[in-house]
Amino acid sequence: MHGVRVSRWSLAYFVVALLSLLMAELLLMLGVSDPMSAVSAGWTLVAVHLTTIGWASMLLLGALQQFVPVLTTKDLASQRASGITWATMTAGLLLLLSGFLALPGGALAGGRWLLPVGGSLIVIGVVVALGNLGTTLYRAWPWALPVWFIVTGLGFLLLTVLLGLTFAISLTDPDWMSPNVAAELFGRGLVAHVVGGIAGWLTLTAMGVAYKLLSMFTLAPEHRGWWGRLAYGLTAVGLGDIWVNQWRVVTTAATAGWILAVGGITVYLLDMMRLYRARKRRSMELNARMARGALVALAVLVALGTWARVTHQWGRWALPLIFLGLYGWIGGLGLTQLYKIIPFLTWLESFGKKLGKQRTPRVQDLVNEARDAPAYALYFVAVLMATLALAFHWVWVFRAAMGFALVATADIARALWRVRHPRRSKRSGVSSTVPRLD
Amino acid sequence: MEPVVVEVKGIIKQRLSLFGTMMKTVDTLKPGQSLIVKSTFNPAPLMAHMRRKGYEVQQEKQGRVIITTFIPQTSRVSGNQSPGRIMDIPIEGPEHYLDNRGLTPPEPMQRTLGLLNDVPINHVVVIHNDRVPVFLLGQLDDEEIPYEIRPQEDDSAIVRILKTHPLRG
Repeated sequence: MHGVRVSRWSLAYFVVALLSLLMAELLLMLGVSDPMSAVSAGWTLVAVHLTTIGWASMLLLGALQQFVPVLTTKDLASQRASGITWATMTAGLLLLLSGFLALPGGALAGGRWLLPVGGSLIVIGVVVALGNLGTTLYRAWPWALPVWFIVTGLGFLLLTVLLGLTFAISLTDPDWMSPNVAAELFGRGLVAHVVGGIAGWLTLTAMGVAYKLLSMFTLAPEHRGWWGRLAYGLTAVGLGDIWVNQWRVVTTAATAGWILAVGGITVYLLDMMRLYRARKRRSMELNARMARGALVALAVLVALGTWARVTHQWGRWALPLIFLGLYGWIGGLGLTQLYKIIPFLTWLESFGKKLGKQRTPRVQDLVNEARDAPAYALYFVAVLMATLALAFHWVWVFRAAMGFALVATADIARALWRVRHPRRSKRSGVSSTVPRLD
Repeated sequence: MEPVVVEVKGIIKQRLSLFGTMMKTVDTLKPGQSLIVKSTFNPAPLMAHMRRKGYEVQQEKQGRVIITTFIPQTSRVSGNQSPGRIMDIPIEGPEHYLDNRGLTPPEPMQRTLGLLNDVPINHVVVIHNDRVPVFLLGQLDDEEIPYEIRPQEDDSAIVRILKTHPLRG
């Protein structure tokens, strides 16, 4: 079998992802979730996990359900398992968010069981996803470069959700572990949770996905040679080193990890520049044009992160940089690539079977790039503004920026909704965006 | 299986059309059979044609004579691998060539299925894509249309598709 069928579940993942992002942006805009004054408050944890699990993780997991078969030219091991992961992750997320609100002093009374049950469901979802994707990948050995990024990213995902479940249990039952262990867990463990989740899982996976996706849609060479291998090797080893040494008091080793990871991501960014320059498709579509915004965000993140570490200003810049990584790099890449992935999957579902028998629209006909481009520009400007606001504690500027980001995301979501549900002309009953099929 | 040997000098002496004779000879090749062409010039158009058909080309020079050997690639990858069904069907027949290189997904699929619908039964659509067209192959699997993939050195792929029946859709 070399053919690949359209994933039955990817779009359901994307719906949860987009709704989560919109909800997180709304909470941040309204000031209900305020990362500047109360990072560990229930509502802030809600916004953080809506962004990390609801938006970014569901987005990447949904993309992988389709992307792993494309990379391996093997059908996904189980579509049912894909659905199970979606259901358990979605239910787990809802319970987890409710659990944060049920923490002492929170908006919900009672419900101590919500956090551990929600966390357990998320872990189950991830384990099922790992089994499903892992079986598919196992059948495709030896692996291409993007697969190495994805496999390493999935490893970090498991570590991250297991740590997250430990936090959930500890928050529910503080006597579960000794005070010393709890202090370690909520100190070093929290950093490992953030590094493993944002850098290990989300960044490594997004790097691998972007390598394949952007080369596919810009017709650039897929084989990245030693540039790609170096980018993977340095980043993966560096992040692994940071994660392990976060638990030990060996700062030299952790510093070496930082240097390796920064070196790896820098090589990756340079290689992406080469990829764009070597593309055969000179006129780029919106997703490829705007993805450069996400890559710029990653470059700024690396540069500012290095500067903050060297000048010992990490305490001040950690929050803005985490925000830039989540919203600028991962969020930007996700939103831009959804603009190609959703029309592509919709086109395959709706028109693939009709090809050769009747006139079918092109994928580009399902979207209106001129209409939708400003939303992407607004999104990236809003993210930059919010990052600066977080750095300089401009509360109202941050909330205004999140308002702009919300408007931009809502407009992008509208455009994606229109792809699935084209507007029909009242007179003819025919879609105004999709050409007639007769 | 014995290879078919063609001496270009003999064809020219008989004042036959070199191109027409060579094409007829190529059409008579059996699956797995090699072709050896002896000529005093480099048969570049024939080499390009045979490469497109999935033959490996080897050349050696003996004095003024160039011996070009066309060997069918044995590393053929077939699509639907249901045992004893589609695998056994040789992908042979009059060919229709489509160069899909330089087109982004799903344009290659669009063009290929369009042509596949138009060509008569038992004709072969040969496509050359920048990448293995995984979604197209998925659709061919669903339609039970046999195909074979010939990965190329430059990462592109030649896929030969035999239209055994009209597309159901």
